[in-house]
Amino acid sequence: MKQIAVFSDSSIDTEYDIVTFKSWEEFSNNKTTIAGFYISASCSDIADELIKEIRSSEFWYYLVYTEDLIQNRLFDGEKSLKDAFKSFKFSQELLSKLKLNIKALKREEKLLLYLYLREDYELIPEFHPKTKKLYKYPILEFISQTSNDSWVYELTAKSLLTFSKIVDRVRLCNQCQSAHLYFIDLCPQCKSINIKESKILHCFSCGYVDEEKQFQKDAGLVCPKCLTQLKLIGVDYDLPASEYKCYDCSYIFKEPYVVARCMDCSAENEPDKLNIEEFHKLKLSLQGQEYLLLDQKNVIFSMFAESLKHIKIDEFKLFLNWMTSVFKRDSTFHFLVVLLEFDNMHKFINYYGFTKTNEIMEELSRRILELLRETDMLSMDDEHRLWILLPTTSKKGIEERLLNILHELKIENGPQLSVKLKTFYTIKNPLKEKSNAKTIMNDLLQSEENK
Amino acid sequence: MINALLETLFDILQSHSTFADFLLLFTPFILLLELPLLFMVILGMFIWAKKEQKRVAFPKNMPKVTCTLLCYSEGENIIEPIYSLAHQLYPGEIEILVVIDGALANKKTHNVALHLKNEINALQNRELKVIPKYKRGGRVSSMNLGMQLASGEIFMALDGDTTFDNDMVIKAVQNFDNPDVVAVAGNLRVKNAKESLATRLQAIEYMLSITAGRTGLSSFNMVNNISGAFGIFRIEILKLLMGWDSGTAEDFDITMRLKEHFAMYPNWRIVFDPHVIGHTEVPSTLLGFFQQRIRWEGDLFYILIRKYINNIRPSLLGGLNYLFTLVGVYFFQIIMPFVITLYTILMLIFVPFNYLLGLSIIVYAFYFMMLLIFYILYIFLISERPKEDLEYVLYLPLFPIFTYTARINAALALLHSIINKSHLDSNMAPWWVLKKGNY
Ligand SMILES: [Zn+2]
Ligand SMILES: [Zn+2]
Ligand SMILES: [Zn+2]
Repeated sequence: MKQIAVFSDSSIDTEYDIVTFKSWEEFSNNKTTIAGFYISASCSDIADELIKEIRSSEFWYYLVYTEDLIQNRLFDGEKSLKDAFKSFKFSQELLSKLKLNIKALKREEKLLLYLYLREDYELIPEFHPKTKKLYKYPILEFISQTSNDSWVYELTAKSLLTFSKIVDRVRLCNQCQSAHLYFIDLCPQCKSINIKESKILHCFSCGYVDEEKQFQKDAGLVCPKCLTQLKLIGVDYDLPASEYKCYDCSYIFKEPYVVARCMDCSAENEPDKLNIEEFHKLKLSLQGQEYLLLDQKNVIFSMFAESLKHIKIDEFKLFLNWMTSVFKRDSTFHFLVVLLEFDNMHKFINYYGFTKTNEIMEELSRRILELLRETDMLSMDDEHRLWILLPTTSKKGIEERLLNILHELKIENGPQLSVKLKTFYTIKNPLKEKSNAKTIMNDLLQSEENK
Repeated sequence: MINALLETLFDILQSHSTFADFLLLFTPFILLLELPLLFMVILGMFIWAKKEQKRVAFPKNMPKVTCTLLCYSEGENIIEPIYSLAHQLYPGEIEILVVIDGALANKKTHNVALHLKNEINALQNRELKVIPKYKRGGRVSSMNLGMQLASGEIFMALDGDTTFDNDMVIKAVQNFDNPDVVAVAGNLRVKNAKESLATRLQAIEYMLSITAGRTGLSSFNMVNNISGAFGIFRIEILKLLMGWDSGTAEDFDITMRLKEHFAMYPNWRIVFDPHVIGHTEVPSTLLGFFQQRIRWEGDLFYILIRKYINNIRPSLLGGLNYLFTLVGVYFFQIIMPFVITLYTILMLIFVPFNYLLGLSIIVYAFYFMMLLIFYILYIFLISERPKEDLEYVLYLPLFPIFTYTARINAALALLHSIINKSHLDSNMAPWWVLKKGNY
């Protein structure tokens, strides 16, 4: 195994293969390959600086253990060097199974990788009362470099992460999504804040209703309207449970009108119409693990990718441009562009899992590849779209056969794969002066599917 | 009409040769027996009315008051009494102890009380405590428990079925501004007065015999009963007496024990304040009324004869009180019913019917006149709801007959108590009904 980078003031005597550093500077000048970081007690005072450096360096996903307990989720916790060694070993093994270009990862994949390398790791929302939504995920912040965490919920929608436990439910301003709200009660009639809860009396002999104050006379109660002495509760008068009176419009009411006022944008929201956001502890799902292990796109389209006809999307565009130019000069040279859009790939994977999806896709790819000729070319983009360029091919034959293949693809008991077939044929779609690969592909994306 | 009456009377006076004549001669004597007491009461009413004019709105001192509400199987009916205490106009602190006797058997009452707790405790200066007594221990144990748990300086023993005017605590506490006042008896009105003729007549009885009568006697410090359904005490005095004794008629008992201290503390006073008002339900039928009275009279006899006969000495109770206790309680409440009953029986046997009828009319007229005067004085001097009370003038003519039957009933009750020791069983059915059933 690789060495463990230990930050310590003094040299440490241990059986493990370690290399000690006194500072981040010393480490970054050293350029050794390492398995993980360990911060000894003697360096606890610079631990916060170190973790900042580590998480923003190329070692951002490495496990970092400390000898002392430090309250900061960017660390992986306190451990003895012995235990830390085991964990480093474990994560190195996991890492070695991945064939990832870590430097090219998008933020979603970065997060999955971070979770994957840590056993039973939970992404825990932390309460930060000064932040806009009261909660944040500290790990997400250094991974995405923004304070907007909502993208993490897209990962749950794709089932790559799962909710393990709800932590809190926060109500947010409709206008600005701030959780900094306070509630004020107002007069339901004139919306004045000048209201007060008071004892309200109801005179039984004339029906007059007003505050107790208006009835008080010496040590007794006298109705200001009918002048009856009110002596016995329940017989002479009634005291409906606490009520409110508005001192601006004299309205008497049982329930005040409550609004939630936003401290950030001062919008007044009705309490039951506030946006609600739930904060959960999140975990890497099995599908998330598979996603990392298999590298989704490559797996699904692996048959195409391995085919000799496969070219990169940029090259595809070059060829298409080239053919467009040829066609402009010689209109007898015609060509066909086919677009297959795999619309519901995420849902499909969620439902059947990677292995089954892979089987289905392999079968589909094999049949499609059988149709193609030596001269045809194909390419994939990031959005599960397959582009095929077929020079000197007539539209009708290939279109019918492709549609047949798609129709034959029937899966019992479950959602069907939704594939849209779109074609561009130079004879049917005359080229304009300005036409090129970009316009053709854009037109195709916006066109209707063939049925 | 008046001529006819005079003629009848003339006839009666002319024919005195038989035993009937002898009986007739005694009639005015019996009528006049109650007169001195009546005059004394009327004088007391005037004294009270004069004092009442000087009454100010609020008491000088506003001590903490503990109201112990004695509950049993009232269920939802305890809501009104509790509300009426919680929403008293008294600005000082009020602690409401809801003691539920036999809380296991009366889960509903218990739950209703608990349900009100938060609402009441949210009010300023009000505190509701629910005290379940899981086994039934009776009123005395409830009151004594309340006394032990009370944190107020003034202690009120109140019935769970009684609701109170909103100035009850203010008026009651005002009496304690006088340091000599040790206890105040509250005044009960009939809550369901309009329900039936029987309740209307009882309402008149409460107004005249109880309210007006006790107000008058109170002016001479001669209150003879602090109702346990509505008794207000300085807590220190209660603790000195060590609370109520078990047995029957605990109200009367504690009043008598208080009075025993009068000789030692001659300036102590027990006040009946007719403006300290509670409203209570009375039996809605005459039979129910008679049954209730049989129980009360029986209890009274037990207390007077068996417990206090030895204590009735001038030295202990103080001069005037001695006289009153002797005359008032023993004579009017125990001997008079017998005298009247016996007299009625003798008259029925020996006096010819037409004479008897004439005599009855005269006696009735006499009583009615006295009643009317008494009633008018009550309305003007004492009533805090004069308009409401004036409506009862229509039922006043029936009242003498009602009292007369009540007296006879009282005699029967006393007789029953003497013969059968009825106070020992808590059966509420009249004994003569019971006996009929058994034979
Ligand atoms: Zn009114
Ligand atoms: Zn208003
Ligand atoms: Zn806002």
